[in-house]
Amino acid sequence: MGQSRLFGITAGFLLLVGILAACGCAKTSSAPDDIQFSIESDPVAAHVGANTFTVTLTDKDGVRLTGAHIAMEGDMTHPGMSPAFGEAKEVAPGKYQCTLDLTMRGDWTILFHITLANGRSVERQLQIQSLRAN
Amino acid sequence: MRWRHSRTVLQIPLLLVTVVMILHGLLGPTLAPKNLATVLTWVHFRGVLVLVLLCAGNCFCLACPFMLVRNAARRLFRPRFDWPPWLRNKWISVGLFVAILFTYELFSLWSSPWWTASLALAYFAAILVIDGLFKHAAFCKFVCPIGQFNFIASTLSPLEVQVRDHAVCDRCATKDCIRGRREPARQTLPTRSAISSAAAPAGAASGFVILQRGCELALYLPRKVGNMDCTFCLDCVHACPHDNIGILSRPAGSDLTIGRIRSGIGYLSQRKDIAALAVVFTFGALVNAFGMVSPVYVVEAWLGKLLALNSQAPILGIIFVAFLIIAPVILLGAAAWVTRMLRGSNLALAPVAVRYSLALVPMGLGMWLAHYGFHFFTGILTIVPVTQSALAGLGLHVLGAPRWTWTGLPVGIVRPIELGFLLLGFAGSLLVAHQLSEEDSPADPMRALAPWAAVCVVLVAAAIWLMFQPMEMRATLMGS
Repeated sequence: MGQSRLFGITAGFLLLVGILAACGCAKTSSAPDDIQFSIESDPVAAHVGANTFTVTLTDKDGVRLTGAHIAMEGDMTHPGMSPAFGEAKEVAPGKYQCTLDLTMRGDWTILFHITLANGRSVERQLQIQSLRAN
Repeated sequence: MRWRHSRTVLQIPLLLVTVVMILHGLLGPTLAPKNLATVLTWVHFRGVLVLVLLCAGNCFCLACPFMLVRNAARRLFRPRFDWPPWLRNKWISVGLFVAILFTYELFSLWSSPWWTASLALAYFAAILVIDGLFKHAAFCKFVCPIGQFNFIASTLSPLEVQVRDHAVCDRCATKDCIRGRREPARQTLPTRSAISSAAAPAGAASGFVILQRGCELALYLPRKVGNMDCTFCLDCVHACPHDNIGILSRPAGSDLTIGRIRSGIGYLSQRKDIAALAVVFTFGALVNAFGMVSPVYVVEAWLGKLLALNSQAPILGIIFVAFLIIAPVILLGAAAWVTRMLRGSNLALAPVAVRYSLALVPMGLGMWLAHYGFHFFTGILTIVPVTQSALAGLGLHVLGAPRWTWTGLPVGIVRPIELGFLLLGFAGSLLVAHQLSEEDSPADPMRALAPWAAVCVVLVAAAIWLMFQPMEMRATLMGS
């Protein structure tokens, strides 16, 4: 009885782990594909220090999306490190520019919190692996 | 602390935090700096752990949430087996300690909320299975890698569970601190509240009910020496009918130099498995820090090119073998050989190396403090925006919008603190080595100390060099 109960508890616990793990794996939000997002950085290979990111937003027909607001956020993949923040300015119709100061070598994730002119919110990410010094 | 439920009161909040952390790790944001699992585990838990070990004692084991679940599970079933005698040592836990350090680097656990939460879940599963099968605290004493980290580090702590007056123990006839208290089941059927949270009611089936456990880690208090293997569980405190056991202060580090036999341990300075734990604790601190600075990628690229390897695992394996086996064997072997030469004796090298490996522990703790202290102090406030964000994700905006700019102390302030920890560890290692050499060579202790002081100098120099390397935190070891 004791052993079967132990087996039951263990199996139940492992099942719970599996379910939660499956939920965790399944939680991926697909980005809406009606917004085209392209990005360039200056310098082309981002480095430690100031990096200028230029974002171009277009709709599915290639029409530039003007009047959007883009807040940028740079996070290291290690928790607890200082993030970098910036607000992009529209330097040409549908083209937005922002400078971020990336302070440390390593892997960074750049988040683009985009609010379109019609109020719709869109999120985009850019992974920068192995950010190096100059 | 005399209150029966004092430990449970400490465990419940930690269990709740762990559950929240696991759920957020599995279901929350996948970006590590925005997830409670990664922020709490790799920034706050580790930092608080080593600081509390330095300033107080083994308080994490005291408040261990895994044990709360295990104790609850033991209300339902009773373990039947004794832990195999040939496994009653630290080798499994030392291996798991190395495995965790290795997987931490290989899978970049710090960058993955999912892996971090899964690790915590695996811990729950492991403790339920092992302590479900085996009697006493087999998991804590022989398996738990976090526990071994705490045990070896707490040898330097200023607090210890101790007997207040040994004369009282000499007169004690019941020895409840080790045997526990039990009553015949038929005479007294205790209410649920009368049974210790840790007791096994199933004991009633065999004719008795445990009212209060004695030490599950086989530490007989009158002969217990130091903090090794003590989880601060307070079972002995609660079991003692004379209120003769408490958490008392003592000179930090005295644990490592006491030569007499210890209950549940034997002679500390003769245990090869504990020496291996001390070595992994110390050199593991170096390799763990090495994984976060730029030179590691140069070394990896060089090894990859030299051996035509594109996979991370074998390259990381080579680095671990170099740090955890080759470097200790060379350094400790050379120091033991020089010790033998200077003393003009025919001592075998291994016992000398095993004995003096304990002197490395303060240096190891200094390195862990410097590393984990860096992340803790520079990221101490990050818990605020992550909690705000987690609550906002649930639709609870009671704490306001996340203040992502809140991080912690500037690196410039934390660097001197790091250096202080390293130098404190260095001084502690020299003191322990000196005390051991005074016992071994009363006539000329400096002679015996010299080679071990040289080892400490090498280690502190390596640690300081690492500290001033540019940090580079990658989740992709073989990245371009």
